[in-house]
Amino acid sequence: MSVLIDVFTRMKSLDRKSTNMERVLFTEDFTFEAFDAALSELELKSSA
Amino acid sequence: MVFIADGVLPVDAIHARLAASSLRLIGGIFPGLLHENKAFTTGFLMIGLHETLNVSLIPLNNKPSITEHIREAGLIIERNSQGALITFVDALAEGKGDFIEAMYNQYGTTIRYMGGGAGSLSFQQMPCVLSNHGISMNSAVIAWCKKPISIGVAHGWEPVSEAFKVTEVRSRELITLNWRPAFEVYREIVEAHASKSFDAMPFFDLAKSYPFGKALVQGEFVIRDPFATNQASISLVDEVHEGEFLHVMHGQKASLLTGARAASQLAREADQGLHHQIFCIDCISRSLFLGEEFSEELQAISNHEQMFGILSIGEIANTGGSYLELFNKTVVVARL
Repeated sequence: MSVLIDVFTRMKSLDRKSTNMERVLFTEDFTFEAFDAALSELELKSSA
Repeated sequence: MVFIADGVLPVDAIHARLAASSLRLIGGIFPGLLHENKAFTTGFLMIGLHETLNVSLIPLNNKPSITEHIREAGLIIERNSQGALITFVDALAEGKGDFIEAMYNQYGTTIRYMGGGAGSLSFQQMPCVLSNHGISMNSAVIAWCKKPISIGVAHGWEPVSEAFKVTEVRSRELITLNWRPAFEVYREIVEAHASKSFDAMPFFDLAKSYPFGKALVQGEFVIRDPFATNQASISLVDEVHEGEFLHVMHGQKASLLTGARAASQLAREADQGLHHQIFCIDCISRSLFLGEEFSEELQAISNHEQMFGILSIGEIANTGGSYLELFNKTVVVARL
């Protein structure tokens, strides 16, 4: 499975408060496992 | 927001996943992605926003239905707010110009817009607009983002010719300028300025440094990107209209970087320190033009702040106060 980079976890708390972006997920290698994992991550956050 | 880099993808499988998602999705397939100030031609980028967007898919099959679909979208726009209308459109859709016009007629000049053209650098039309309807072709998606977004737009191209009147055009095929075959006029200007010949290289290798600039009343230029010729007419990425005036433009690395910095600075000034993250919509042809040095453009835009975004085929933006334009070879910087 390709590595899914979650930028949000590396953001400073100040930066998190100062953006409309709640989560930024990226991978350079497209796989459906990574795509599903990213969608699930955002769905989980959205329903929280 | 979901962005996938162009490539050989099993479209059906992605289509099903998007249609099944409980998220409200907006995005597209693009020639490139920007992530933490680097450009990629593979992978995907997903950006979750704090607010849930009301996304509408607009089919672009015929002009009357475009206007109708935009009306039916029922976006609740807050006039004079700091929010923005986000849109991604199939870059090769015939109805793209009509869509921009219909959107402008519906929502007007007082709001901000940001978006870009989706699709493949192969210039073969394909399903490329992402929403909860899956992956769509000949379509656009629109959504109103209520939270503040600050936008800057610039390009850095300068005129190197007098103005030529567009005397015949068929959609995106520029037939004549000043009643002469468009390629004949263009060739004279470009070959004299570059001291190079189109006979010695593929058209785009030379044309990528010499786009057209559509002169606006306020002295600015909207860039139109020529990408092919049949030795008489010239194919453009986006439309021009008969009666408009075009200059041949030219840029060098330094002028493009100046343009990139200007877009970033305009967004920063409008933002007044509210946001520290940048979403950038940068034209894929700027990255092709700058090659290895494109990283310098990304540095100029990000200025050590975090930046994500897309490499698009045409850019859409309005900072709230002028006619909504489709740009080529331009940088749109949004702080959100």
